[in-house]
Amino acid sequence: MIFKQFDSSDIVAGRTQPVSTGLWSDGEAVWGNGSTTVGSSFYTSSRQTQQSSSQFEPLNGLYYTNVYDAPTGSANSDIYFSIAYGHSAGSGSSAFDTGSSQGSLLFPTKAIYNQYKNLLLSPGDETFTFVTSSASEPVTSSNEIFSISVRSAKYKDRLDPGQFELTLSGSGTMGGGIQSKITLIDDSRDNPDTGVQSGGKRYNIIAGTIADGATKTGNYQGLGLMYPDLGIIILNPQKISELIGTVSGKSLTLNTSDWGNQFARMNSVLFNSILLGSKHSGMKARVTEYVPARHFFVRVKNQEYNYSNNPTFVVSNSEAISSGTPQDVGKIRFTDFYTNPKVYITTVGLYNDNNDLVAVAKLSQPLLKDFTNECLVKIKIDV
Amino acid sequence: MAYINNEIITVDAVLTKKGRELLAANGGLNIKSYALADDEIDYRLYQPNHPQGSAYYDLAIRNTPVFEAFTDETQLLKYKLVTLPAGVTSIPVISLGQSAIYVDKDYKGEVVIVPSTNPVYNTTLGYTAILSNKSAGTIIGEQLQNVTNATIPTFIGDVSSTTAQVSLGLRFRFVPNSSLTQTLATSLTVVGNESGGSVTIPVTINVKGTS
Repeated sequence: MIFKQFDSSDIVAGRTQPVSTGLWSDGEAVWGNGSTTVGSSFYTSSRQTQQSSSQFEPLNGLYYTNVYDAPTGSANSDIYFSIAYGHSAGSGSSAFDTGSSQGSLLFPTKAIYNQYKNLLLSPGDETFTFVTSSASEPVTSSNEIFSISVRSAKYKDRLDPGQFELTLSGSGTMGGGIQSKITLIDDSRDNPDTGVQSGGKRYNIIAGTIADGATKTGNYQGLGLMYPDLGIIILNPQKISELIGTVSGKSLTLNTSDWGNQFARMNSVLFNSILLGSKHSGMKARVTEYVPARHFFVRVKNQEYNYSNNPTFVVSNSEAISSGTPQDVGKIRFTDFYTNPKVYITTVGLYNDNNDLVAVAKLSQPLLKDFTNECLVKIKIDV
Repeated sequence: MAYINNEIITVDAVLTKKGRELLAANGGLNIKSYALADDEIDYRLYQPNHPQGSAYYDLAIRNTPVFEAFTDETQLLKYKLVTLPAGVTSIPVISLGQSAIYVDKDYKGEVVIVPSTNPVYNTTLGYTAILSNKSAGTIIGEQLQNVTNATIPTFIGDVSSTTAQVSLGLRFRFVPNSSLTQTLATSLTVVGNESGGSVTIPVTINVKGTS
C-alpha cells in the first residue's frame, strides 16, 4: 500500500490565520530616509506631475498622484499609495481646462471629494467632519480633504491600526530653528472600540508616534481619519496647514493666491510635505492579510511505510550480477533490514480522489521511520 | 530550487501545478489521501559496519540535505514508501511479458501488456501505464472498474506531462500510430498503484525506409 486515506479528524479546515508584515518592499515596516533601508525615499512619475496633452486622461495627474518606492523606470519601482486632493465646491480645479476657453468642465477636485464622500460617509452626510477636543466645537467640518490611498495589493486586507505613522513637514521653522513638522498616528490605542462606520472601521488621526503614543492623551485636533479596512487616510488640510505652515511656498490648504486661475497642484504640496517629513522619520505602516488555511495531519503508524521503492533500498541487477548472485535482484540491500527495516521520509504527497498529486510537502531533514516509531507530520496549506 | 535549512525540522508545502489548476477550476483541492517518499535518499550510504557503532550507521543518510518543494508533479514522489508485512526480504517487483515493444506503424494486431507483481500486489488499484510520447500511439487500460484516468499520479521520468499519455488498468493494449512518417522511439513505464514499484521498457514504432 502506498496511499493512505485521511480520516475526517486528520483535516482541520475553516481556520483563518492573520499574517502581518511591513507595508514596504521586502516587508520593511519603515520607508523613507528614516528607515534602515539606505537611500529609501518616495518618488512620483514625471508623466503624472506634468501636464500631458490629454486633459481627459486621469493619469495625467489632475486627479491623483501615484507615489513610488523607487525612481520610476527602475526595475524595482512600484506604486505604494496615491495622493489626491478634493474640494466639495471644485475649488482648485483650473478656471479653464487645458487648451480650452470654455471654462472648466472637469472639476477634478470636486470629483475626488464626492468620490470619497460616497465611499466613506453615510448617505446624506455631505461634509467630512473631524473630532476635536474643543467643548464648544467637538467636531470640525472641512470642505477640502487630502487622501492617501494605499494600493490594494500592498495593504492586502487591512492597514494595521496602531502601526501607522506619518511625518509631515513644512519648509519653514518653528522656534529655535527646528523645522516645522508633525508626526501623525491613529488613535486606536486610546480609542480601540471605534465601531464600524460607513467605510468600515474608522479611527481619528492624532499627533504622536507609534513608540510613545499620543503626544497628549485626548488631544484631538481634527487632523484626519483612518479607514484601515480600505487602506485610506483622510487628512484635514486646514488643520495640518496650521501646524506645519507652507511647503516650498505653497499652503497645504487651498489658497488662490498660490495658484491664481491655474489648476492647483495640491497633490504635489502634500507629496513634498511627506518627502520632507520622511527625512526626519520614515513613514511606518504594517499590513495584515487573512489567510484561510487547512491543516493536514499525516499520522504514520508503526506498522506503516517501513519499506521503500527507492532503487538503492534493494540489490540492483548489475550489483547482483557483479557479485555472482543474480538471485538477489530485488532483495533488500542490508540483512539488518530484513527484521528491522529503516526508511527516511523526505516528502509527503497529498492526493485528491482522482489520485492527482495536488500538493507536496518537504521535510527539512530526512525523518527515520521503522517498526518501532510513529510519525506525525502537520502540513498547512493556504487555500 | 534550493535546499531547505535543516537546522530545525520544518515542513515546506506547496501546491503542484495540477493543484493550482484544480483550485482555479473548482475552487477546492478535495485532498483525500497521502503518500510518502524518500527521493533524496541513497541507502547505499547506510554503514552497518561503522566502527563507532550503531548510532553512526545512518549518519550519512540523516545528514542528507533535502530539496525545497517544487511544483512539477511529474517529478515528485519518484520513490514511494510502501507498507508491507514485517519480515519481507524483497520489495514487490513488477514485470511485464515483454522487455521491449517494437512494431511497425501499420501493425494491425494487438500489443497486449499484462503487468504482474511478485509477490502478488496491485490487484485492486491496478497499474498506471505511462507512454512517454503520445505521438507513438495509444495505450488503453482494461479490466479495472470504476476508475477515471488520473492525470499524472506518479513519477513519469524526464518527459513533459503534456507529451505523455496515462492510462489505468490491470492490463493494457497498445495501438501504434499509423500516421507516423518517421521511426519513433519512446518508453513505456508501468507503475503499481499499490506497491509503488515500476518497470520501464523501450517502445519503437518502425516506419519502413526510415530510422
